[in-house]
Amino acid sequence: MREISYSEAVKEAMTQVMREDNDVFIMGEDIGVYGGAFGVTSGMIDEFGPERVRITPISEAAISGCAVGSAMTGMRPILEIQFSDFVVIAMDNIVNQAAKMRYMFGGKAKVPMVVRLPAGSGAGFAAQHSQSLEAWMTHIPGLKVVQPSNAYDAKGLLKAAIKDDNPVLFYEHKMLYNLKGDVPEESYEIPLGVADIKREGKDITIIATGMMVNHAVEAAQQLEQEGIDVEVIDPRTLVPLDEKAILESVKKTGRVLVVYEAVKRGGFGTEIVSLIAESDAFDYLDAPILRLGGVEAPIPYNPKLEKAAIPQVSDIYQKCLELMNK
Amino acid sequence: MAREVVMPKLGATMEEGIIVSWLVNDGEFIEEGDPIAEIQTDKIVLEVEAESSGHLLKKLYDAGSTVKVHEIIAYMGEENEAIEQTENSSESIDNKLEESNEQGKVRKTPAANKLAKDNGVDLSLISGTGPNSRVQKQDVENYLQQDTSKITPLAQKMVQDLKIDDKDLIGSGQHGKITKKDVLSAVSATTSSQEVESTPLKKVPLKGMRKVIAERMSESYYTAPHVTMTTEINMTECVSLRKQLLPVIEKETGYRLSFNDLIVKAVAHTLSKNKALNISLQNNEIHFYEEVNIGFAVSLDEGLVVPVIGNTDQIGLAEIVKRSKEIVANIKSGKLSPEYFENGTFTISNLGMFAVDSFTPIINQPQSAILGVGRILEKPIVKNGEVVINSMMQLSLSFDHRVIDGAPAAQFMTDLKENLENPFRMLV
Amino acid sequence: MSNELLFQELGLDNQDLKKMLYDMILIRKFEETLKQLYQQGKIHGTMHLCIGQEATAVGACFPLNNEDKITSTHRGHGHSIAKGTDVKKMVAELFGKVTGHCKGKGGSMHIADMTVGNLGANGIVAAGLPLGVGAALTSKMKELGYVVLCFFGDGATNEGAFHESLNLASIWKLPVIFFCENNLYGMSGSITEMTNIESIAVRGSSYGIPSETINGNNILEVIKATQDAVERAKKGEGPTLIEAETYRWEGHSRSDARKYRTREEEKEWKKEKDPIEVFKEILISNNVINENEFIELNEKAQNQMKEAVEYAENSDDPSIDTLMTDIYA
Repeated sequence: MREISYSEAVKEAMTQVMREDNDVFIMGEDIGVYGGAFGVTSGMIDEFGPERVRITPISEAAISGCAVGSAMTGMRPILEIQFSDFVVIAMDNIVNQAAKMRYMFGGKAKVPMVVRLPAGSGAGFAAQHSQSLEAWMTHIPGLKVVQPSNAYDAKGLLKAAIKDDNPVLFYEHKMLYNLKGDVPEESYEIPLGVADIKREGKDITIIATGMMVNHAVEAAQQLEQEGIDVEVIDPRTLVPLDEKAILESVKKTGRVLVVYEAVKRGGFGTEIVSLIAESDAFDYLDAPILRLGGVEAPIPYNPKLEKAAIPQVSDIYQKCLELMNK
Repeated sequence: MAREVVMPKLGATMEEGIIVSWLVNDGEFIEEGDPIAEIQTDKIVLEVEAESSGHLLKKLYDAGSTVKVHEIIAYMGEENEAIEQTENSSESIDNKLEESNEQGKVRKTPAANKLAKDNGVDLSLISGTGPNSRVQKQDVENYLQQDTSKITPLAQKMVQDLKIDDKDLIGSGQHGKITKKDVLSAVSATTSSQEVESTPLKKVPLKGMRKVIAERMSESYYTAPHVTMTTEINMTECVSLRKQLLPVIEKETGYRLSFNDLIVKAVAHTLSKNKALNISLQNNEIHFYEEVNIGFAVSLDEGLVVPVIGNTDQIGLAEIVKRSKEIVANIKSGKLSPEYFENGTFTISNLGMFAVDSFTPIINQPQSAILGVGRILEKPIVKNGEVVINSMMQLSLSFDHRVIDGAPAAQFMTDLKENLENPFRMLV
Repeated sequence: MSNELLFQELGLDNQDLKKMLYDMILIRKFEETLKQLYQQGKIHGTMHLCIGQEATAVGACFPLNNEDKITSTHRGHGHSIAKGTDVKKMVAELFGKVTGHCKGKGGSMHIADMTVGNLGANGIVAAGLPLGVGAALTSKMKELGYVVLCFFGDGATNEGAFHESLNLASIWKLPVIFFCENNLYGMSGSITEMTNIESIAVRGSSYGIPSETINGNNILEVIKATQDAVERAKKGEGPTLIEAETYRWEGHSRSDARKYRTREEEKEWKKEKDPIEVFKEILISNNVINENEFIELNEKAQNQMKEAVEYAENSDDPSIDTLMTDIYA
C-alpha cells in the first residue's frame, strides 16, 4: 500500500475523476500556480489547463452562484472555497438555490456540484478562518454534507461526492492535510451514508467527526491501559447519516460519547445524540449520553486558548473515565 | 379538602411501620371504619381504618414500604379531588417516593431497566453502583448471576440445610447478595422446590400476620441454636391450690383462675431468681433485664399472638388472672393494642387444653427462652415405694444456646419444678 | 503635477513630514521584525506583511484626525501604525499576549483600537467596506463630523460587498473614502486577469462617485488625494474612490512561493519605487532632513521595535478562563 497525504488524496480524487469525465471542472481562488491556499490543487492546472482549473476572482457570491448555474445545465463543478468560513458569503446560492432547486422545480433540475471547504482550528488563524460550520449545512434539506477524517476516506468520499447528482458540501480539515495514510492508487469510491468503525470496542461508543476521529482513536489507545475498550465510529458523512451503524454500536456498548470540534451548542453531535435518545438503542444505554464540543466562543488566536477552545485527546480520555464511572 | 392518612403510632416504642398491603385502590370509596391498609409493627399486623368516609385519592407508598410513624401514607377526600399540597408537602412526598422502594423511582439506566424487565427483577432490590446510586447494567448482571459469592455464608448454610435452590432466591443485601433474611422469606413463602403435586383447594398469598409469624419463626429457628429440656411436674398440689383459690379469686376479679395463671405465676417467680434466662440477644449485645415480663401464646384464627403481662413477678395471682383474662378478651374481640405485646422477656406456650403431652417450642425472638406446657394427666407414679395416681404435667424449656448454657437452664427447670410442686411457697 | 509643485502646494510643516517618514520606517521595521520572529517560531498563525506599501498607509491616514475612522484588511499592520495604534500592544497581540490590543484573542488579522479610530483589521475580503459605510452613517445621523476611510485591496473589488457599499454610500452621500491599495495581486490573482478594465477607479463612475488613480508609492500623491476626499466628505458631498497603485514586496502570507509573478517585476518595484526612498529623496532635496537624520530615524524605529518585542515577550499569556470572556456584552 502506498502512503500519501490527505491533501494529495483529495487532489488525486479530483484528478482521476477529471480524467474520466470532461464535465467535471474545478474553480476557486488561487487554485492555479499557487495551488490554492493549502496547496491542494498544486499542479492540476498544468494537466488540465486554465479552462478546467478555473481561477476566480475573490467573489464567493458570484462563483457559488456560477457553480449552481453550470451544474444545473450539465457541468459538474467542484468549487473550492479558500477557507470554509468564507462560505457564508456564498450562503444564498448554496441554501436558497442549490439546495432547493430540484425540489421547487418539481424534480426538473439537478445540481451536481461539490463545494470543498477547508475548516477547523489549530493553525492560529483566529476567529474568521478557523470555524467548523458544517452543522449549518446539515440543517438544510437538499444538501449533503461530508467530513472525511483521513486520507483514504477523503479520496473515496470525494469521488462519490463528485459523482453524486446533488450539491455536496465537502469539509476538509486544514490540520489533516499533511496527515499521511494508506491510499490505493486505483480509483475507488466510498458511498455516502456509510459510517466506518475506526476502532472496535465493547465498553464505550465514541461517535466523532473530522479531526476528532483521530483524537478519539488516540484517546482509545490510551484508555486500553485502563482496561477500557472503546469503539470509535466515524460517520464520515453527516447527511446522509448511517444511523444503523451508530445505533448498533450503541446497543453493543451502552455508553456514548459524541465528539465534534464545532461549537457544542447546536453542533451536529447534538443531532446524533437525539437520534440515539429517540431510538430503540435507548433501552441499551447504561449511562447518560455525553457530548464534547467546542466552547461557545469564537476561536481565539493565542495558541493555549485555541487548544482550550476545542476538545483535546485528554478531554476525551477524561469523559470516557466519567462514562465508566471511574 | 383532602384528608391525610398517617402511619399510626401503635405503641410507645413504635418508630416505624411497614405497609403490609393496601386494602383499597386509589379512587375507591371507603366507609368510615373500614380498613385501608394493613400495617405491621415489629410485633403484630394491624389495620389502619378510615376515620371518615371518602375516596382514597392517592397512596404515597407501595406495599412493603417502611414508613416512620405520623408520616402521611395516603390522602382521602371527595372523588377526584385534587390534593392540595404545599410546596413542602409535595417535596416531602417526592422524597418519600424516592425513599420508598417503588420500582419506578429507582435511579437506573435504560440498559439496567431493560435487563431487569427482561428478567423480571425488582430493581428496588438492587443497590446501584453508578453515580447517585444509579443502578447500572452491571449491577443487574451481578444480581442475576448470583454465584455462590453472592450469598452470605450463613445464608449458604441455610440453603443447604433446607435443600433450597438458591436460584429462586432474590438477594436484598449489598449488590444483591443473598442474606439470611432472603432465605427466610423464601422459606416462608411456598418454595417451588417443595411444591406439592396435587392441585390445592385454594392458594392464599402469604401475607399479614401469617407472613410475620412465618418470618419470625424461621428466623428464630435458623438463627438461635435451640436446646430443649423437659421435665415432669407433679401438679397434685397445684390442682388442690387452684380448687381452694378459685372462689376467692373469682370473687375478687370476676374471672376464673386457670392452671395457666398458676404456671405464669410460678415461672415469673422462678425467673426472678434465675435472671440468667431473662435476657435477649440483639445486635450482638446481650441485654439483661431487671423486669420480668411474661408473655403467653394466644391462638387466633389469623395466627398466634403473645400478649405480655408486665412485671409479672411483682403482682399477685389475682392481678395476673385479671390482666390475662382482660387481654385475651380484648384480643379475641379484635382490639390488638400494641401495648399488650411489648417488652416480653420470657414466653409460655401452653397446649394443655389439647391432647399434647409435650412439644419443643420455638423461642419467641428476641427472647432467649420459652416454656412449652403440656396437658395435665393423671398417671400412676411411684412415691415412697408405692404406686399412686397423681396429676402429672410435662414442661419443655427451649433456650437459645448462644447465650444460655445448659446449667442455668437446668437450674431454672429444677427451681420451677420445686415451685410448682410446692405452690404455697410462692404465695408467701 | 511634479513632486516639487505638489510639495509646495501641500505646504506641510517639517514636523509632520518627519513624523510621516518616521512612521513609514517604523512600519517597515515592524514588518521586518515580525517576519524574523515568525521565522524563529516565536509567533504562530499567519500574517500578511505590507512592506513596500508604507506610503499608502501613512499618506492616507495623515489627513485624518483622531476622531476619523479607518477600516482595515488582513494586511493591516501599516494602517494601524499610521492611525496611531500603540505598537507595543500590536506586537503583544501578535505574540498572543494578554497585553495585546485584543487580549491575545485576535492576532494579526484582527488588530483594532477604537481609541484612535481604528475599527479593526478584517480577515474577510471586502468586509471592511460595508462596515465603513455603517460607521459613516453614524457620523451623518449623529452629525459627529468624522469621516471614515476604508482600506481594501484590488482583490476586494470583485466582491459583491464592494459594489453594494459604493452604491449605498453614494445614494446616501456618506462621509466615506474608499481607499483601494492596488498592489496588483489578490493573493495570487493578478488584477489584469481578475478584472477586465483599465483601472479600478473606473468602477466609481457606475455609482456616481468621484474616483482617481494615483501613485501609491509617492506619499505626496496619497496625501493630496486623501485630503481632497476628506474635505469633500466633511462638506457633505459624499464618498470618493481612490485607487493607489502600489506593490507588496513579500508574498501574500507566510506560505507563498510567489510563482504567479516574476522576480524581475519584484526587483523593479523594490529598486525604483521604494516608497521610503522616494519620500526620503523628496525630503532631502527640500532640506527637511539629511542623510544622518535618516539613519537616526531608522535607529530610533529599530529601538522602538526592540522595546515593543521586549514588552510583548515579558507580557503574560491570557489565562484560560478568558476563553469565555467578552463573548457577549
